[in-house]
Amino acid sequence: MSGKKLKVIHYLNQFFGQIGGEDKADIGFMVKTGPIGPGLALQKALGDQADVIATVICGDNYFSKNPEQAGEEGLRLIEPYHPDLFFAGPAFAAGRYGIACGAICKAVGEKFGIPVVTGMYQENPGVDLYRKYAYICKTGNSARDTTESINHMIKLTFKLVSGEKGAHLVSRENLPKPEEYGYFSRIILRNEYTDKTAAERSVDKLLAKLLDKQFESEVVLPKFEKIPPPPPVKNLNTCEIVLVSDGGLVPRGNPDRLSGRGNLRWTTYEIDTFLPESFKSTDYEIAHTGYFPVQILEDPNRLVPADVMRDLIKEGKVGKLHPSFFSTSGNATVSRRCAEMGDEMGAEIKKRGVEAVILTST
Amino acid sequence: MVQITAVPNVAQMVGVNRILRGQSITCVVGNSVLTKEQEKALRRKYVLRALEILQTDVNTPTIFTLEVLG
Repeated sequence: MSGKKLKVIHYLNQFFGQIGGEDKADIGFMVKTGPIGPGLALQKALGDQADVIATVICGDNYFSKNPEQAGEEGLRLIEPYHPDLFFAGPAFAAGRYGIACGAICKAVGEKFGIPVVTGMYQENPGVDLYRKYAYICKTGNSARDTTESINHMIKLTFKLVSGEKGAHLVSRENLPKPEEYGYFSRIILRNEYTDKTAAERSVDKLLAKLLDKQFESEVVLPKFEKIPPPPPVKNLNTCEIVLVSDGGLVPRGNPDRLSGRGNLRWTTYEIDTFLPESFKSTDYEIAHTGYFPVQILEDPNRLVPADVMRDLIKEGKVGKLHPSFFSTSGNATVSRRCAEMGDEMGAEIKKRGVEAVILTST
Repeated sequence: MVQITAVPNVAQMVGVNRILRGQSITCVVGNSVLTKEQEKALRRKYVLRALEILQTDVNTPTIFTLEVLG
């Protein structure tokens, strides 16, 4: 650490900020100079390495009613201080306070790229909402745990700013281990040097599991959200349907440059010119290296059932086929980007007033 | 939305609510051993079943098959 004192901003709610209790929970933002309440313990723990130069306070109701907007509002107050470090709470088990601490940490961390540290009890809803964006130290469920929680937060903070090994946070080599520093994993994979090959580590893990020894996976599996099912289609004979596929079907030459693996793009083609009744199989290619494409190249209707859809529309069974076909390639793409592309395509489909989707996947 | 796929478990895992099990990975709504006419009739069955599923109420990710049971 350099000799220069680090500038710290601390966030508190109306209660810990000594404005008042629930009756003051609707109060908006204010800034006070220096540390207040738990900030005094924070300053003590920071010693002469850092100064809590200001405390930002906001009522829990005011903040949690619209966390993203409040985060932005808080940011404007914090900006002039150019902080080196940012702390919030700890919020313990207080739900609205936890959400406020998480949201303001997220806003500050994204804007300034500085370490943002808070503390919460494991059941605080702020943990799952904001763990990816902030260091959330594990605390007890009430303010009795203040001193210990703050010491905990400081220990982690000193590690974050220590610059050990000369590594940067960007490369994540300096990311402290969640279990060692008592914070909720940010679900980030970090680089680590090891003498053992992946095969040796796999066998070690397997043996540990079989022998009932402490076992921890190196890979965090993605967690998928539950999506509320959309209501069923009511009138099929007036309904407009769009065909979507992640099988990588594109015109020959792949003009939109979908990748065959790890693809990050999606595109649309006018279905009547892209896949007319009298198509030529030499007009297509498959931008997807994950399956054998010969059968679909022979007849793309095997992937995108345009022929049958046209028949059903002629027969009056379906209202309309949307004039565009949405194409992407889903092969070893990270799930986060898949979800983003799904959101983008979904938004575009909704904007076009299409009521239902038939998605075909290889 | 209804997703037609020969690997419905993946769709179910990521939370797709209406899933129809497709014919095969490399030929989702077709079958290259059939004649052209037979194959199109099979594809028609898939699409009609998909349309039926779109009109069906579900409350959790559900995998349907081509054959309507009962």
